[in-house]
Amino acid sequence: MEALAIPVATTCREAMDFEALYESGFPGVARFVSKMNGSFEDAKDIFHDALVIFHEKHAEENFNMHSSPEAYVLGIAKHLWLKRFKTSGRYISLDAMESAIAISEDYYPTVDTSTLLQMLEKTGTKCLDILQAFYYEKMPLQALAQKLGFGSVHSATVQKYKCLEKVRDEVKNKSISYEDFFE
Amino acid sequence: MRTSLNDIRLAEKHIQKTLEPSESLVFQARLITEPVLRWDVYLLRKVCDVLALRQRKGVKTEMEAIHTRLFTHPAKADFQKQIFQLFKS
Repeated sequence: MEALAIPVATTCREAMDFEALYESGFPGVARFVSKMNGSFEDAKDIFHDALVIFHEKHAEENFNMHSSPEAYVLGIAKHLWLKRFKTSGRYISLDAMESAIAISEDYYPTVDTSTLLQMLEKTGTKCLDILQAFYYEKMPLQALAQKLGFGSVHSATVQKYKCLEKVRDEVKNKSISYEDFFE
Repeated sequence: MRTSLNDIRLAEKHIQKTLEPSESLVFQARLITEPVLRWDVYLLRKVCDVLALRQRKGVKTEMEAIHTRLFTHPAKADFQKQIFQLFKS
């Protein structure tokens, strides 16, 4: 995968110190996974997913955290463990804060999503930056136009639609049908 | 704006629920009769999902680098010991 054009930290409301959170948060998750008879690799995988989800939630405008980041990440990790190993769910107790955490159903990607990602990457860095900023970061068009060096909001808007058209054409060229993307 | 681009614009507004009521009625009628337009809407939704996936991959790459640093650097020996003790069989 090509390098991200937009650094991860810029998508947060405030830049996040992942390294510090890794050091303070991983022991709790590792302890939990070990208690559930999971391996070191399981702990690492679950923790990385939990951090990704925490990063996304942290970037949401209306996100309010009523506990420490470490406790929140542990709560997410417990949910992920439940999702991954449904049968062992009855052995996990979630407190009120942890129960309130919602993780989107489509968090784990499907093969079709991965195929579309490859096609999206073929549209080029500039298109990816525009689409990422507008659809993922929900950046207002005015700010997007300024950040990515467009002369006006109108030209940024038209470019955004052209990028989507490019993706659509790419999908068409590959003869991928609507049904192929059905999951 | 070209018709094709305009349809993408309408598909975007449809997903964001920002079409004017009159525009929305016409668009919904077109969705019934125009498969290409349905495809535009579907693809746009998928693109949004995929962009989230791409961002997640970026964060995970960063996590991998931090993990490697924390589990190989001699200055983090205590941290490593604390974690590895949990997985001793």
